[in-house]
Amino acid sequence: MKYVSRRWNPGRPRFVGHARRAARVLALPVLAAVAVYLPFRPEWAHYRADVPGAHLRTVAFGHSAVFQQIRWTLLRYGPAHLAPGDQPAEGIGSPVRAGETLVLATLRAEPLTKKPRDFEIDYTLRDRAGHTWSAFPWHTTIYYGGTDPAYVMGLVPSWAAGSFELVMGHQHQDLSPPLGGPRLVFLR
Amino acid sequence: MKRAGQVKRVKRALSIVVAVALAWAAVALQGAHWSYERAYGPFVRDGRVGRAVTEPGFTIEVEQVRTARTIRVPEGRYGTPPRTIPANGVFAVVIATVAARRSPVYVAAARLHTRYGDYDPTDKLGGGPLTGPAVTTLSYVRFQPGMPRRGAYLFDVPPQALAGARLDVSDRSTDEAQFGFYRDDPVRFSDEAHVDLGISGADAARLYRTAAVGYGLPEPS
Repeated sequence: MKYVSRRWNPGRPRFVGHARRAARVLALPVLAAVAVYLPFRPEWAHYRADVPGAHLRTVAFGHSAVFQQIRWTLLRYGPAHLAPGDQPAEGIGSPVRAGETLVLATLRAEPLTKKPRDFEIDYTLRDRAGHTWSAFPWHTTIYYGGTDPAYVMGLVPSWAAGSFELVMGHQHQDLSPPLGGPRLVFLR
Repeated sequence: MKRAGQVKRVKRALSIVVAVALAWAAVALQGAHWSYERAYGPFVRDGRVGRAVTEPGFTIEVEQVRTARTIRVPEGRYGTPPRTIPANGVFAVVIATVAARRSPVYVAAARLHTRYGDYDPTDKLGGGPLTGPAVTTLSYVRFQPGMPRRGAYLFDVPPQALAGARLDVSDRSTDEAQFGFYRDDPVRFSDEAHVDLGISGADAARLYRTAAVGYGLPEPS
């Protein structure tokens, strides 16, 4: 049998060789990009925890949005009033100092399924200037068919008491493919 | 052909020169990369007592340094009796005000840098995963933007180490970063403030002589 070089084969049409070469040239940068991206992917997720991504779903006031199988509607933002003997949410130090305001976001929460997956929601408050504050659920149990409002409480400096907005995010253990998924902000 | 031989010799000489240059460049570039600290931090900013140091994530202003031979811990939340904690050397109480600038942050990584070496905050106040320390030091506070907290970092050091001591604090993450090529490396990209406490030899002697007994550590306020 006569040996036929694969590389130099005048019987083969010329464009096949061109196409193969073009594919190789394209594959190289793609492979390099994947090789660089893969090791950095978790690092990127870590970075995103500190620097929130641009992808933020916004909900206008009065509209509802689904987050983690619950339909949320913001009812109001305002200062929190503690009844005598009542405690602020766990995670908020007390007592409140001068110049600081305990604030509350009141929401309607309607679970869409009877058996929701057990996810934790990461609540934060933010303002348009780029500050963020911790926030915590307070006196809230969400169950299917329930009508009780859900509360999220936070402690903010008094200058932010009229401008804060609630942000919902997925906690780290719930990382879904696009780095925890979009976060949801309830506009005032 | 004489000419062809000359060209060949020149080509060979050139290729040797290029090979040597490439080898030299390869060796030189080995040492030309950034140091770990330059590339990954911690990025250090210097300050001194009485002046605020502003980092991207937080500001810290050290007010003063006090010393104590013993610290009195008041009655605890769950009825733990009051007690007095003695120092091995002397307690250096660094009183400071810390505030977050952008988002919630811990400024938990604290060290007292002295000529004897670096000291971690004392563990004599107790505290673990389930229980907080007997008195909350600034290491345990989650600072929020616009809400500064005044409190203390507590060190137990030999009295001779006080002179020239420096407080090093950082907002580096205390949970381990499970990422990348440098696993378990939370040091990367953190900001560190080095605050000179301004203690001269005479100051150190005076601080040790006048060290308080039964000092009540300030809670963050």
